[in-house]
Order: sequence, then C-alpha cells, then structure tokens
Amino acid sequence: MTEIYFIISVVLIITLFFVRVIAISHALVFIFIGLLGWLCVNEWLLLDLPVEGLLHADALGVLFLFITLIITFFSTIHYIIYAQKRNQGVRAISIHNGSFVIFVTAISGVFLSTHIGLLWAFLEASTLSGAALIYHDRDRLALEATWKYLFVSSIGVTLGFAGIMFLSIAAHNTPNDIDSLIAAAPLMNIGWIKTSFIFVLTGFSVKMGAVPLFTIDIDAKDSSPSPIGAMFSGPLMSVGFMAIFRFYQIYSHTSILPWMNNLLLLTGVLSLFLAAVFILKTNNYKRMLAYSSMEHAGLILVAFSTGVTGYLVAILHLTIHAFAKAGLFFEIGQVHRVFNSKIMEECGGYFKISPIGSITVLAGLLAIVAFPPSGLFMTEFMLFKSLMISGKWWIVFIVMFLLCFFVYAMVRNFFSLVFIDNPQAKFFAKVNPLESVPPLVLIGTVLVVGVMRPEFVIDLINKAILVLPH
Amino acid sequence: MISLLIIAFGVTLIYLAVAERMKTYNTLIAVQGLLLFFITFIELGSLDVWHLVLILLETLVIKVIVLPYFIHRLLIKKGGDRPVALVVPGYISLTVVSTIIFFSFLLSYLLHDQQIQVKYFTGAIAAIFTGLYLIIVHKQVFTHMMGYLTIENGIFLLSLAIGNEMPLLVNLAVLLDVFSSVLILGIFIDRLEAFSTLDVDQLEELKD
Repeated sequence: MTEIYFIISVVLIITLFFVRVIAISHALVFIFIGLLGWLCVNEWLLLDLPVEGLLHADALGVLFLFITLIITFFSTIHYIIYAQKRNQGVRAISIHNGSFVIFVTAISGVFLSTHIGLLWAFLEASTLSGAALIYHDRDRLALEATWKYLFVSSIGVTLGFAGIMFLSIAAHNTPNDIDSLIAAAPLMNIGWIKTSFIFVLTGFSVKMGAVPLFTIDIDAKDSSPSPIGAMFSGPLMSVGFMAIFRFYQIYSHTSILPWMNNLLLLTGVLSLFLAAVFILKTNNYKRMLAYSSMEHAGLILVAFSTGVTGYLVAILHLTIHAFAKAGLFFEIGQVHRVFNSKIMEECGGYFKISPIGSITVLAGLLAIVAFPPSGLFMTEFMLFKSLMISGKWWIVFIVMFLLCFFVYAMVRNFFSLVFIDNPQAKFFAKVNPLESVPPLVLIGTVLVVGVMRPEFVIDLINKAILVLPH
Repeated sequence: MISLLIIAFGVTLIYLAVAERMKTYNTLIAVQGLLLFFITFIELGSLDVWHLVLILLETLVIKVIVLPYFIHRLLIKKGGDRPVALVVPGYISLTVVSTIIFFSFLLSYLLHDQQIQVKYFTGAIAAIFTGLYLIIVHKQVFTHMMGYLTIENGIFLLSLAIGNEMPLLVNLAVLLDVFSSVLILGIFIDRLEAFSTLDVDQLEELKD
C-alpha cells in the first residue's frame, strides 16, 4: 500500500514542476493531501496487523502522520492566500508546490521507515526540499537562511549517518531494521552505542530545533513564508523527535538507558536556557515564535528524560504544540501582511485593524504559554509531576524559572501587538476575517483538549510507548 | 595494495590542509573519489552485480567525474581559478591535519574491535575530522563545501570499515541524497556569488 503512495507522490511531484496553471497546481496539492489522508487511515487500520517490508508505520508513526496531514492541509490553504496576496508568479508557485510535496513525502517516509538507513535517506530528502521552501522569496535574507540551513543541516544529517555507522559496528552483522536491532541490542558494545547516540542527538537536533544545532532552524522559520514556518514547527519537529526516538528505542534495551536520559535532560535544559536568553532579545515576531518552538523542544526532551512517567507527556506535548504553533505562525503571517513587517517596533494596534485576528493571537498566546485551559497546561503539569516523581526537584525549579522568561516575553510582545497603538506602524493591507478561521480552529483545538482528554491520541501514544521498557 | 591506496588517501588530506587554489581543492576531491573507487573495487570483489554497479556509480561516475566537472563549470570556470583565503597559516593546518591522522591511527589501534577494519577506520576518522577542521578554519563557502565533501568521503570509507551491507533500495536512496545535496549546495553557492557573498562574514544579516 505504501508503495502506491510513494509512486503516486512521485508522479504528482513531476507533474507539479511542469504545470503552468496556478489553479491546477494547487488542485494537485489537494489531491496529494487526499492521498496522504488515505495513507494515514490505511496505516491506522493496519496498526494491529503484522506487516512486512521496509515501509509501514507503528503507532507513533500513525500519530505523526495525522499531525502532518492536518497541518499540511491548513498550510496549503494559507500558502494559496500568501501567493495570491503577494502576486506570486506561476513558476514560483510550481517550484514551491513541487518542493512542498517532496517535503511532505519525505517527512511521511521518515514516519514509515522501519530501516535506519532508509529513515536517514528520507531525513536528508526533507533537508533538500526544505531548502527550496525556505528560498521561496528569493531575496538576500532568504538566500542566507537557505545556505545556512542547507549546509548546517547537511553536516548534521551526515553526523547522524556516522551515528548509524557506529550503531552498525556495535550491532555486528545484524540487519539495520529496527526490530532486528532491538533484538540484538543487549549484546551491543556500550562504548559504540554511546558514541552513536551522541552523534545522532547532535546531528538530528537540527531537525528538532534543539541544542546544539538550533540556530539554522530559527533562521529558517524566520525567513520562510509563514505556512512553511508552521510546517517546520510541527511536522519537522516530529521528524527530529522520531529520528532520536528510534535510536532511543533500540538503546533503551541496554544498560545505557539512564545515561541517555541524563543526556536528553542536559540537552533539554540547555535548549530551554538558550531559548530564554534569545527570546528576551529578539524584536521579530517570527523569531520569537521560533525560540518558543525551541523552548517546547527543550520541554519535550526534559519530559522524555524522566523515563516511563514522561514518555506519554513528551509525545502528547509535541502533538499539542504542533497545532498551537502552526495556528500562531498562520496568524503572524497575516500580521506580517497587514504591517508589511514582522519587526515589533513597526507593528501595533492590531485589535483595531483585525478583531478576529487579535482574538486568534490572544487565544494562541494562552495556548502557547500553557495557561489553562490550554492542552499544554495539562502536559506541563504532568511534566512537573513526572519530574517530582523521579525526584528531580531541582530541575522543576530550573524549568519553572526559565518558563517565566517565555511567559513574560510572549505576553509583553503580543499585548503590545494587539493593544498598543504604535505611530511607527504603517497599515499596508486589509485582511479578510475568514483568513483567521484556520488558525482559530487549530488553537481552539488546543484549548479544548485541555478540558477534554484526546483519548484517540492518548491511546496511540500508549501503544507507541509499549516498545520502550516499562 | 589497499594500504598504499589508504596512504595516498591520507596524503590528499594533508594536501587539502595547505591547498591555496580552488582548482587544487577540486582535483584533490576527485582524486579521493578515484582512490575510493579502487579501494572498493579491490575490497568488494565478491559483490553481486547490482551492488557493484551502484558503488561504481557512486565513486567513479559521481565522485570522480560528475561532481568535479559540475564544480569546475559552475564555480571555477565562471569566476576563474581564484586563490582561497587562508585564515590559518598553511604550516599550522599541516600540523593539525598530521596530528588528526596520528590520533586516528592511535584510536583505531586502541579500539581492538573485530568488527571494524583498522585501515579503513583510520582513513575514515581522519577524513571526517579533517573535513570538520576545513569547515571551522575557512571563511569561504567554497572551502566549506570542500570540507563537507571530505566528510562525505570519510563516511563512505567508514561504511567500508564496517562492511555491514544495506539493502539495495537503501543504498540507492543514500546515493541519490548525497548526489543531490552536493548539486543543490553548488547551485546555492552560485546564487551566493551573484550576491557577491562568498565570504561567510558577509552572511550575518540574520541575527537578533
């Protein structure tokens, strides 16, 4: 079944690069989204059945495929608006749509791969297609961001490949599919798998937007169109998490489990710390959202490091964050169009211009700073509980202290955008209130899941974490 | 024979440390590709025909012919064979790369792992770290790309050191990715040149 998905995707990609009618180009993207939807449902139905082959999703893969499907759908709608309002030429739209479908196909490939080598190949493909998406506006800043993203990402993914090689040394002649590697894990050499995990965490941090290779992720989210920023904050972060998770899954059956947890904790806290420093400094709304994504990547790693009690929290947090951040990126895209700027000193008094947009920004603010009833409040509460259960009180205090900086920076900047009139803010374009509906739906979902437990998602996560020691 | 080829590979790493012209870098990367082809050809004599064709494609066709030709056409022929700015004096780079090679030998012999082939492992580790060194000390995007290609060659040698075969489909996907990543990097260097920003110091507009 997955073969059919990839074959049709390739046909669509080739067609998209040659189509010179805008409406047909967008229609083909929606056909692809329909195909992705069919894949999601199909993989979900096959979840409990034994399936052979290099490409089929487990519970975590199915969950991430659904996240990708939803955000891809909304991102496509927003890109159509983006291209229309900026009078994009048909060639630019064709290149974007073609690269976008390669990007989403590569992302779904990562979620479907049961072979470590194939997972790497899809990860690299997502880097290459992602570069074309960042370069969309073709100006100097986009070029700088694209070059940095492409180069650092390639280095990161190559270091990840070195991690796979070290795993191969440790696994001797075991085939590199995940099930075989898990079976061989208890006999692996500790030195090699520790080296492998360090390389993998360093290399794939580029996709997750966490320490150490986080900088290019910030530049990419800032310089690319907002619908792409949403894709980078949601599905691409899931890709980075999935890559690290696969290695964690294998090595968790060895004695290095506590060591890995400590390393993840260190990476998570460092990500939180650096994001807190930079979020106070930035004067750009998109970069602020990017640093907020880094903060949440840090929280996810901290939650995951707490072991059994934190696995569910980490994956649930990742899922909810993807929706909240995508909604905010879409709305900031509208703000960018209204003021023709994303710089804070050049924006203000948004409530008078777009009341619905302002309500979306404020609802997004509640959701992202984890204020009740946000779903992120629930996961952060569970994170602190999990840290306390594992006896890491000092981490609770550090994380709470750092979170104050994010709340302060985001409340200050978003309140100033919505309520404070700024004489320097120039009003460039009017927005249709209907354009704020998709972000409002996404953010509304985040607020609703804080009150109503998303049982479908929790069931999938519980199934996904069964593969880890418990 | 293989030892000689690995030594020649090590010599190209030392030469890379002191090379001053773009053309020299490009030639050295092509020579590395040729050496990798001979090493693979001798080492993997018993491979099935499809794997052999794939490896031949990766080393001889892509690393020796296509990529150097592409880099030459896009970057060297267009702007002339310019000298590369050396931030660190050549003799220091020479010492550093020699030390990297020495420690790679030391590390390989200390590991005592039956799974790895010491000769390849030494060359691989030396190439990966030399590539990283080139990226760190140079300030031009061209030399950064050469550093990246050196790391790629190191990774290729590392996969030989391990000798764990991947399925054909995976090999094909990896090959396609490596090939397209270099092509795309080359295209973006060309674009950067159009903005006259081949020096990384000029790429600092994106900051807080």
